[in-house]
Amino acid sequence: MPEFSPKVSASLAKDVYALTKENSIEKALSVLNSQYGGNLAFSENVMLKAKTGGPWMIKCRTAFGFTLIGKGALEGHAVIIFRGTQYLADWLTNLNIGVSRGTSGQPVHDGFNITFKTMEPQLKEFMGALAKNKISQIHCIGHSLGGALATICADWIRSSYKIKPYLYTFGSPRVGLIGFADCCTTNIGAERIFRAYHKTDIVPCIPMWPFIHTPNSGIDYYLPSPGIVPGATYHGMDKYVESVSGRNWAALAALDVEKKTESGIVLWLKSSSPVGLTITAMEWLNQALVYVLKKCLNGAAWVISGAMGTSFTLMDQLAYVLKKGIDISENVSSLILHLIRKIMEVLGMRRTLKAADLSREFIRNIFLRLQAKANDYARAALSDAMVKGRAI
Amino acid sequence: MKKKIFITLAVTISSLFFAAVGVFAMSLGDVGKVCLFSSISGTITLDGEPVANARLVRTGDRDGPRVDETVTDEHGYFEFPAMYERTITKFLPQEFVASQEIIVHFKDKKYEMWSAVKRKEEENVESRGKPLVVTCELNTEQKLIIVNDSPIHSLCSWDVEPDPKVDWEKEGFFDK
Repeated sequence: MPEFSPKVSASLAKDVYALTKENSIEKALSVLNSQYGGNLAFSENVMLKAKTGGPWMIKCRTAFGFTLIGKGALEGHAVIIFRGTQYLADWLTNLNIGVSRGTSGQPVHDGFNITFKTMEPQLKEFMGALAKNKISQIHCIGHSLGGALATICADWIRSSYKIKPYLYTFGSPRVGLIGFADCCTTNIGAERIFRAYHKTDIVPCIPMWPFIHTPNSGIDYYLPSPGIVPGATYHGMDKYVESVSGRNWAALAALDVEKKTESGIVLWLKSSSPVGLTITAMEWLNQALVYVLKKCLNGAAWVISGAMGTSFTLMDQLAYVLKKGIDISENVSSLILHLIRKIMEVLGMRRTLKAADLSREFIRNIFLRLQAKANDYARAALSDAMVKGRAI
Repeated sequence: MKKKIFITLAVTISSLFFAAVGVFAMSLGDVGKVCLFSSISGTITLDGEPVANARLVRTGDRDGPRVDETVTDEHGYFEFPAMYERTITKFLPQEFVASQEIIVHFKDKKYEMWSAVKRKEEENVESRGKPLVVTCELNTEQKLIIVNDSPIHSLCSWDVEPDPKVDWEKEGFFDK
């Protein structure tokens, strides 16, 4: 398949930030030529507009991205790249969560959707010129908010033009609800979607369930990164370029060595080694919760676990379990006892617990307390930033 | 016994408190500071002759422009201090992107001496950590160099290694 290498897609996702900030199209083009050896150019429409003095970039409140036409080695390829949030206001609207219908009729994040809609007319023009430019492959690329926009764009291209684009995202937030993720993944094809994210990047953790990641099946590209708390550093596009350079997609997929095996999970649950409030403990707890729920409930009651894959965080699991009122007290096993003990340990509660204590109310209460703790924990990076911000 | 515990606690808490205050006082001056334009100095010539009394207007723009000015001396020498800005966005997960421009006004003519996009918030990324000292010839074409992911179009030269170029012919664009 003619998919871009991780390095090409990551470099483009990084370069779009500087390109949108250049003060003329000539300068942007010289940077593009210097970086990609003349194999990419701005689409003709864009160039013409620039010459007549009109807007030459895809514009929202500020320039948000580019449409590019391949030349030479990239003949027949088109690229649509989006940048991420550059301004605080944009970022805050990211947290302002509502849902609206995307082009395929599926529920997506309202803020992302509105931003995309403002660019739709320019993208339509670009899509209209595809035949003339002899384009056979389209690549949608973006980092952060740009990843969300690229996802919506890819979905739009598929549903409006019956073309299957390639989609590459780095540190993208979750774009839509299950209906969107499902539809988008099926329509574009999981094998054409490359979602890369760092373990300690805070952005892919939000918005939490019921928002979920696209693709919701197939492979996502989990990149190990240092740190015990998710934060802002490993959201940086330079870090993503570093992490993916020199590897192909298959090699990146193989990095997911930290995924827990079932026997590993049971061992962890039964171990008496102390657990603290770290991302490692949270990941263990998350997967232990999935495992225990799968063991204790039959498939029908726990349909969601398989569909969510690795991108479902502990917060998501808890939100889901609490919302659905899933009851594990009826089917008490030693596994549940171990799980609740671990959770109590993370919560700093006493550890003497007998099977008889495990009423429905008790477990629900424990889950609620853990949810509150997990929420605080995930919000830490952002609220930290706000506290520091107020000190200015 | 109780009293001893109380004293230990009091000492611990107060030392924690002072440690916290110390950290706070130390960092407050730099909280949220990002560098839009590093301090830059150098000489300007036109056809090899020093450009005296030229007006230089410098703009740094991350989220709205910041402008300052200077004038060259009789040797064509100028200097600008570093241009900083405070922003809480430094702590948020987002990219640093600031445009830079220096326009030279000389004898009713305008020259775009420097037009760049700074991609890292630290000072002196334009020159890889060294002081940014340039020599600029106004009667030339702008040249592009990319340093620390920051594209710089300028009429100037200075002591710096550009970012290594990727050989796409060799690496290929597609997944292998």
